[in-house]
Amino acid sequence: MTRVAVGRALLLLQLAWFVYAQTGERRYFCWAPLHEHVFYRIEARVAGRPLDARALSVRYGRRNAFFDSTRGQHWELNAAAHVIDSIVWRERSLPPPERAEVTLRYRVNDGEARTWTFAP
Amino acid sequence: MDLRAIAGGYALGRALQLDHPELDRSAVLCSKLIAVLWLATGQVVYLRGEPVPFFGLGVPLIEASLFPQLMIVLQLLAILTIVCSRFTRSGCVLLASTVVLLSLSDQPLFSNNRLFCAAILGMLALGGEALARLQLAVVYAAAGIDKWIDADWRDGTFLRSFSQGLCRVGELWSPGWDAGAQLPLACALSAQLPVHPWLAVACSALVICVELSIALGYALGSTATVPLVVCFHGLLFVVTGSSFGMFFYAGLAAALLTLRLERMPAPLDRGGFYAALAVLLAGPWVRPWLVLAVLTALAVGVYLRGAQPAQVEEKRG
Repeated sequence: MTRVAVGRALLLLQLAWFVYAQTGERRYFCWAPLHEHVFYRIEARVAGRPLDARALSVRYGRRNAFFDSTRGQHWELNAAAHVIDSIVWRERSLPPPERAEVTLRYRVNDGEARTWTFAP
Repeated sequence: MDLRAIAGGYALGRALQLDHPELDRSAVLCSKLIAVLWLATGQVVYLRGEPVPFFGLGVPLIEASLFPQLMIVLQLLAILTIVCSRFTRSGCVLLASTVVLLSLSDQPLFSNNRLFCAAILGMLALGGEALARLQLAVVYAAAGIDKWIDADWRDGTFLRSFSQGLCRVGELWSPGWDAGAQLPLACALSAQLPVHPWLAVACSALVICVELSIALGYALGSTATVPLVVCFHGLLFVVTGSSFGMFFYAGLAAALLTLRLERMPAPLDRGGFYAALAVLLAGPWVRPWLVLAVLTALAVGVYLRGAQPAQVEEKRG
């Protein structure tokens, strides 16, 4: 019985988290696959020196991300906020001198072009 | 702890056995299929050297040098336990916990499809097939409602732009991954949806309705869920050229939870049949047309065999 009660509690927790997630942009742990799709390009500079595509992929965990070679852009199939989180959380985990200035240019569902920046 | 008794609970011969003192045969089969396909589709090894911790909060355990190896060993042990031992529930808990820990350890690798497996296995361990079906109802209902309340989904903007992206990028990941291979159906949709806005709205509504219907089917334990799930996941594979990691496989395996295997006609009542099906659909030879052909043949075969799966009843005791 205790096991089943734990399971039911976890289900209720998921429902509550799903409702909470609808108030924001993130879609972690709330069963919202393909919530939106985002074409994006990241540019970053560390101490004024630009990072190349390979360094960017490694730094922000994009090596296995989908890539549109026609546009030269990566493709995220969940939420734009998740790409932004990758950048912010990576940069904040580094010592201040190693942090990068980052510009993210992206389109949600191929809508209007947006720009987001991170300053160390 | 009697290690000899524990070791005695493991045997290769158990791989195709579905009997369990507490779980239904369909629940055991579902967990075994997910475990085997987790291994077969390469989900065990997906750690990166430089993880991005959630909220930037590094955890010492995750940053330890042996963490990736430890995670691989735990997953292999869990798979072995689920497939070849009588400790099915323990194996499910171990694999589910490891998957959740891995999801929390590296934000860029967050994926709904891996958590989907963890959720099913976790609920099977905690409350058997009834609780797992409720979990599935929550997953599909949340997916459907999230789309329904999104304006871009409702007016077809998402599907129109998504199909155009698919047509340019080509096949997404699957065991038989062929980067950039053409997706004829996605390209046809990308050509038609901008010309016929009503078609984009209708396709979006269809996706949302199917997800909500699957959720209702699981909540009621209805066998009608099976054809819906097979059509939904099969079509998703054919359009995107992708299994979306484990989503396709776990989705199909979970549909078994609405059936009473022992009341199915041969060979649909045997583990070996589903093992053969898994091999056919999870090898490097898998292509969208093969998925379509296999699922169509399966549907015709079931129809010709006159399968009349009984409605699931709540387990007594």
